[in-house]
This record gives sequence, structure tokens and C-alpha cells, in this order.
Amino acid sequence: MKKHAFLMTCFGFCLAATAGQQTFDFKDPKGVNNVIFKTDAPLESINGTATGVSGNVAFDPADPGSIKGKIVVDAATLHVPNPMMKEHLQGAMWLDVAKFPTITFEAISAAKAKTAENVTTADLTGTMTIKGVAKKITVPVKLTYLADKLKDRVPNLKGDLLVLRGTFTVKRSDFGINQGKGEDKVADEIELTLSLAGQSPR
Amino acid sequence: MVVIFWAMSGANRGWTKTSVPHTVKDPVTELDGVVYVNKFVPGVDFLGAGLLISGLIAAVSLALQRKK
Repeated sequence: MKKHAFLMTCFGFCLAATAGQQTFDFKDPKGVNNVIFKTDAPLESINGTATGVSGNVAFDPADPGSIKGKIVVDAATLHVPNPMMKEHLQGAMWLDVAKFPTITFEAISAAKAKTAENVTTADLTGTMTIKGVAKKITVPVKLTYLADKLKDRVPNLKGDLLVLRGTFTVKRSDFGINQGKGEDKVADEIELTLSLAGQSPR
Repeated sequence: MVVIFWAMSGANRGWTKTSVPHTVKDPVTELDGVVYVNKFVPGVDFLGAGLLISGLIAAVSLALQRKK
């Protein structure tokens, strides 16, 4: 009986500890989610977008610093306006999309979390995996928690939204993407801008 | 003609594009979504190839005229 009561107490504590945490699904039914990439090399400036975003993020509005989760980008959705450039970008020499179909970022910890009303800024540290190469990076993000706003976006669905914005830079040489080649046309540093919204239905 | 077409299409000094991005703001999240619309925008590669072909046609026609 005592053992049973102890287990119930432990279960209660676990529930209390995770009560505020919500899981947000970043597969956007509206198709707005996107990642913009920019390179500015001496001979060429290239802008493109990836729209195939998915993944789940666990977020507690009462404890934003405990955020964890994984964002997945379908590499085949990377688009640039020039068709030949797109073919090269997705080809074996650059991102090799056929062999490495996803680009992922898995957040493992957050630091410097500051919250004002429903907006939190934080530095997310996690593992970025591009072309099969995983590297630990820190990304500054702005999180906006929109309570009860899901119904405004998806009728007949109650719940909350989490908007994630961030701009940061990665080096293609760190991920073995055509390392040291063509830097006059494609810079080593690639600027990535995240514009993502996740939903947590109730 | 090639130069006029290129200039009228916006005198794009980059590579030829077959789609152009448009930004659409989501009213709830205020995120800027990107939608690509199919549109042909000739670039410097189109201009160069057009001028090269024009030059070749001019040279061939000049050579044929001289033979006559």
C-alpha cells in the first residue's frame, strides 16, 4: 500500500513537472514556414528558400528556457530562381539531396532566455546536420507564444501557436559542402533566416 | 532586339530566372511566407547568348553576300 502511494506521488510530481510543456508541430498546413538562405560571394549573390519544414518542439510558456526539439528541412524543397543553379545546388557536388534528403537542427539547450510578455529571446544550442555532417552550433532565436490563436489560422482547431524566428550563419566548409571550391561564386558563409510557426492543438 | 527584350524585362544583371519570389504575410503569425511564381526573367547569360547568335548570323550573312 505504501509502495503504491509512493508511486502515485512520484507520478503526480512528474505530471506537475511537465504540465506546462506543450509539443508544437512545425509541419505548417498553411505552407508559410520557410528557411531563406543567402550567400554573398565576390562574383555572385544567391538567394533561395526552402519550404519543406517539419519537426516537433517542446515548449513551456512558463519556462521558455527549457525548450527542446528538432526542426527538419526537406532538402529537395530548396529553391533558387535559376533552374541550372537549382540542379547544381541539389546535385552530388553541393548538397547531394538524393543521398542526404534532410537538413536538421536538434536543440538540446537554451541559454540567455529573456521573456517579455509572450516574446522570448534565447540562444539555442544544438546539433545542425547538413549533408550527413553533424556540428554543434548556437543559434539566436526569438520565440513568440500565441495562446489560443490556432483557431484564427486553422478553423475548427483550438490550441496555441509558437512562432520561431532567427538569423544565423553557417560555414559550408564545416559541413563538407564543396569545401574550398568556387568561393568566388558561392561564399563559404551562408546566412540562414528561419520563419517558422508550430501548432499545438488541444 | 535581344538587348531591347532584356532591357524591357527589367535588365536583370544576374542569371536568367524562370521563377520569381513573392512575399505573403501570414496575418496571425506575421511571418513572411515566400511563394515562387513562374516567370521568365532573362539575365546576362540570355543577353550574351543572344548577342553571340546575332553576331554569328550577321557574320554568315555578310560572308554569303560577299560570295555573291
